[in-house]
Amino acid sequence: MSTPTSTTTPTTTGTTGTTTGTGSSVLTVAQLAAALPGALRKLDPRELLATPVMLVVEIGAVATTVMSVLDPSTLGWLVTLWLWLTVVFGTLAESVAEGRGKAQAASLRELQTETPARRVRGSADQLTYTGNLTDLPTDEVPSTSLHAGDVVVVEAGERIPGDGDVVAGVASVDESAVTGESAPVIRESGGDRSAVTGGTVVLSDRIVVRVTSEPGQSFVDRMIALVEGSERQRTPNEIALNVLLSSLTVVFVVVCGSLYFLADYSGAHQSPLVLTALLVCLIPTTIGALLSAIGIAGMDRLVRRNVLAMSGRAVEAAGDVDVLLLDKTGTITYGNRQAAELLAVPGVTSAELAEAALLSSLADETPEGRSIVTLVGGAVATPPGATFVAFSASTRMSGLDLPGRTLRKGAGSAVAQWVHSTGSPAAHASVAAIEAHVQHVSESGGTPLVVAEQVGSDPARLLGVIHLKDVVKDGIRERFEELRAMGIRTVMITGDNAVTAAAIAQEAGVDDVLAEATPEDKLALIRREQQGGRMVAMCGDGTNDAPALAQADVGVAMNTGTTAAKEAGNMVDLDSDPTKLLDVVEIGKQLLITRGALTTFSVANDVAKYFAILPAMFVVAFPDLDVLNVMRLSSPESAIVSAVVFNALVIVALIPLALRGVAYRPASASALLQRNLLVYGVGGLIAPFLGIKLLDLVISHIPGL
Amino acid sequence: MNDVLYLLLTLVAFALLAVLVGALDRYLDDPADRVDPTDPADQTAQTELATQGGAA
Amino acid sequence: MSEIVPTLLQVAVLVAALGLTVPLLGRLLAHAYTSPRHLAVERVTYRALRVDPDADQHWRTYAMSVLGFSLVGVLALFAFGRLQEHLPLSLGFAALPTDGAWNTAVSFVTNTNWQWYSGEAALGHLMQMSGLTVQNFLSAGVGMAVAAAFARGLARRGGAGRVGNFWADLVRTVLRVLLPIALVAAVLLVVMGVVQNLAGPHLVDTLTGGNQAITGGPVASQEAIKELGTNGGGFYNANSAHPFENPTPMSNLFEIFLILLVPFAMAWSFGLIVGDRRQGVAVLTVMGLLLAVSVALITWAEMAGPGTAPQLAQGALEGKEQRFGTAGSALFAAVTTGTSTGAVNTMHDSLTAPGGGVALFNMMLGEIAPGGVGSGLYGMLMLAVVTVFLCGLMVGRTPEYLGKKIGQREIVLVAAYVLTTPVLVLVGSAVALTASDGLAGLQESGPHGLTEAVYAVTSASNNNGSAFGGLTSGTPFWNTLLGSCMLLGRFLPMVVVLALAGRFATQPRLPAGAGTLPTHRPLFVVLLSGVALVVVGLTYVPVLALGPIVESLS
Repeated sequence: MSTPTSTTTPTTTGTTGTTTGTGSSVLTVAQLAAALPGALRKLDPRELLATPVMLVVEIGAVATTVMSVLDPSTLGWLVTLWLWLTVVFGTLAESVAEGRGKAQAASLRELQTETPARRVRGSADQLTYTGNLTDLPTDEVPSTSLHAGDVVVVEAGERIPGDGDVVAGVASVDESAVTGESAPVIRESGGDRSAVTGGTVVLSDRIVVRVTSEPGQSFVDRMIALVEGSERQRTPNEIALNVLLSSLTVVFVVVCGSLYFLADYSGAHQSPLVLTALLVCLIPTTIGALLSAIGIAGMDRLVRRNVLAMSGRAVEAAGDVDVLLLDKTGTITYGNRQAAELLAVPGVTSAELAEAALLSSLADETPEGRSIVTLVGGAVATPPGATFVAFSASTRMSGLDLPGRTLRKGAGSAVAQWVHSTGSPAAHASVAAIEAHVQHVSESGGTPLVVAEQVGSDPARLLGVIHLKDVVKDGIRERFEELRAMGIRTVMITGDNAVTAAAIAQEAGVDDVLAEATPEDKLALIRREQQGGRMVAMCGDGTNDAPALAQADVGVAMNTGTTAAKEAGNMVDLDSDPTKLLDVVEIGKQLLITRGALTTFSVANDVAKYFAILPAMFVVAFPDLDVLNVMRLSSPESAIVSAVVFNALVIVALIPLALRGVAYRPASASALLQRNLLVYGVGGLIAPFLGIKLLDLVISHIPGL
Repeated sequence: MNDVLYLLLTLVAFALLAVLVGALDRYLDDPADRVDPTDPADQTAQTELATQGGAA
Repeated sequence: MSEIVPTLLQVAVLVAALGLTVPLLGRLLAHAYTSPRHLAVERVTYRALRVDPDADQHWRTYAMSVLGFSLVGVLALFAFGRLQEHLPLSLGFAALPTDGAWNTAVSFVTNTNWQWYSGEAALGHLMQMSGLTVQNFLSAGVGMAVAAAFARGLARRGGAGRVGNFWADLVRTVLRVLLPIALVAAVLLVVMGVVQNLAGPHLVDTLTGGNQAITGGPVASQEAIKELGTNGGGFYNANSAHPFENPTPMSNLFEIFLILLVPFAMAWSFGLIVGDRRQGVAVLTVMGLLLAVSVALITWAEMAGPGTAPQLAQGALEGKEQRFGTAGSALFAAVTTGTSTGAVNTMHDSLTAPGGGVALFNMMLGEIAPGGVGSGLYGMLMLAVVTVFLCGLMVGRTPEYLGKKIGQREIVLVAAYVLTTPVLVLVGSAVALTASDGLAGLQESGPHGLTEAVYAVTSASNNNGSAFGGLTSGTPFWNTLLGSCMLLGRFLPMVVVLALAGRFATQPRLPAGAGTLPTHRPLFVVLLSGVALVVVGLTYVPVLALGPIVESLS
């Protein structure tokens, strides 16, 4: 049994404002124009080394340029132009993806402007062990000179000079610049709400903060690096895919190289220009050009949902997650319990109990208290002379003192003790009735609140029980069913006892439950799952969550949480919404699917390109091969140019898809595969036939071809 | 004379294959490829090491 | 048209015979590769070889054992060839030329069994039996051992790179599987009329008054293992078209059965070794599917054969044996190229252009349908890994096959495997068709000449060993080129396969869930077949266009 807590988490919904309005995912011309200088800079071969496919295209473009200069022809210049465009489109995609993060980075940079900070003067020992830091003298220093371990004092209206933990005081802080959430949040020393972020502004009161980050390594610094993509490390899957694409490229280089000699033998000499065009069409340029853009955009999608991944590796791991550990409170149930029914003891009418419950809750501002008021029919005016008795950890009760009447509500044992202390016999019939109600409520997964009343100086009497119910979030059950279809198991973590936990678990439809969980239990559970080869994701905020967050493959720390938790996890959710974990998993999967789908599309395209180029190359020497010209392209030259142009344009056409990610609906592996194969495999087979034919209709009119 | 040439060809071919075996062996457990736990840019490094420690 | 019934009938008999025997042999193979117990005769062998059969070898040691063993094989055969005249039972044949002896040595050790010479006119009985027949067993055994090591790598979890014991695998393969079956098969072949003796050439007077030397010999014993081990090196130059090697349609069908038996059974045993029979069945189905398509295509091409003469004769009969008919020849052609056998009962040079093209494409597939003994299995599994990688991404997870993650290192190895043969084939073909020494060997010019050269290089690089005919390959240029292709085409992939086996053995085996891509369902079978065809198709279409395709269209 637990008592209602008086401090509540400020819950925010997942749809709170994004940090900066890098709004829609539609690609605009302005975006392209802005990205162009960056794209041109990326043409440096050293930059292209990371994507061998595009490097080969660039080498090809240089080669055809030289050939066209030495032996000018319309075909040569057209191929050259479009090969260069192919490379530029590739770098453009990456540049556009990066550009989306730039705006956000710019607004974050404003937080980094140097501010004066008041540093507490004292030796390291003093700062670590002295209790009353507020009394020590302070020096004014620039914020950039602060190091981990320094202690600063921040007052209302001042900007917090660096990341740190509040060591003394309470203050409301405006964190909107980082989180996008405009409502101020409370930061206080001790507990799980002690972390402050550099650059945020204290609105009221005064706090003492111990700085935890070195200059240049603050949370905002990391955010900037992440959204700009400057520190982007390629993820394991991306590297593996790059290897596969490179090996395909090598195969096609050998194919085209050997074709030169085989064609010579066959008396159908091919110019290096045409072979280069063929090569560029065959190598997987589509996916090669878009690969890094997909990765950057995936991170960006997380950022838009206010989740900061500390590495791309973590995002990818999210797609692989097999087990989700979810905290009951806030994730599965609304963070607060709500009054569901009133259970009176024999001899007390429902109306009596309702009145007592209402009065005792009138001044109770906790969500539980408000829900009681709502249940019994809404607020009434506070009776004159009433004094509100707030909940305290020692009494574990709250209530209302009226002249000649005292009302109390609280945990069963606490109220029983109070009643007993007023002289009421311990073995009263109402005690047994209360115990029966309390047990009933607990077994159904609820929390019982016992209400008692003392009139004058008579012994107090027990009135009844308020059934506070954990309310399972709407739609969470369906969400878990989707997860199950995706092969992901959900485990609910709760401090409740096994009976209560089981009841809620069943209502929410989770697969498993860890009741009366201690941090050690959590850690042990994660280790157990990982030993079985499963990948685990969890979210947490408290310092005691830190080991489990670090152990989990994907650990999402709440931004409201402690610095230790944020350091341990590999993602931070700025909205502090535990449900976000589900979004994170989906984004991880979408990232991988987008890569796979575009690879399939790219390879499938080659079939049509062969049908366009091979007859064009050999029809002069072997007229019979004209039957392979199924698209009936007008001339060999037009066919080659059409294939090259199509190859380049398809990159541009797919940039929005790469940035947005392919449509993703949770489903089983087989269902996903079937759908994506149909769209991107079969689509990739057919699309180029249509595209090349259409281009040929236009290109054949170019004079000189 | 010719015999020696072909013998050499055979020996060199197999020697190169043996070198390939050694190279692949080194490639497959190259410690440099493992995640650097001191790299602050990669927070999962610690997680992964912890995982390995936990699994051991 | 009259041939349709027997065509279908022989396929039905073949399928039924395989259906009965493959699961049994698969179980025997799986047992041989997993049982900890040794037979008495095996213990004696290990003691003689001075090896410890219970040592669980690291993949590196396993690979070095394979290489060392094969190197000794090459050197021994090379010596036999060069010293033939000094050896007993030489039938008076002289030593082979250096390049020829080397080519032959490499050819038999790599399970290619490409023959630049006429067996009956160049090799004595000792060379045929102790040299070639023995290598027929051993090279097949090496291939199967490597496949077994790969299957074990997939089956293990946290195996620290250990994949089993090469010597135990090799000895068990030969003693428990190949020898007993080959013995029974040889007896059955003798019953069907195949020659078996140790006599010298038999001189007979011919009808026209001349005389001819008829060479008998230990034919049936070599024939049995030639097919069973997908070797394909015939006792006679005419190979399985020779009446002493393959006298009747019955023996023809039996030889086809022998060729297919072990490759399919290896796939079955794979399922048993990894503890999920459905996985083996899926691989086997892909092999069967690809083979069925090529049988159908070649049979159609040969029966519908273009041109007036074939139309009148109801099929393209040039180069075929009348006793097998078009169907028996087409089936054999598809099977021998679909496996890495390379035995022929018909001259592939005389196949119709599309028929020859399909035979060529079969080999280009990388010998996976169903492929050579052992090599077919690991080749197919490599493609399965590629398929899983492509499709795994599309289901939104890090790709995994049988619970093993396909990461960067795995994909590097697979890429190396997939690259090796195409590079050998394409570069080799380009060299052959550019160098004057290469061109000198071609019989035809134009597209057909191109096919001759490409076919030879493809056959060598994929360790098939079948010859298209028309090519005079017994020259230093061709012997060296093809020998190099055989050597690299065999051992480069093997090293990579073993490395991947070790890598997989080290990994834990992840449990499968609804989020993992199932690799035993029909969808995967279709995908794997598709990936095999597309990857190979995209690589070889230009070459095929200049050879068989342009020929077929004209």
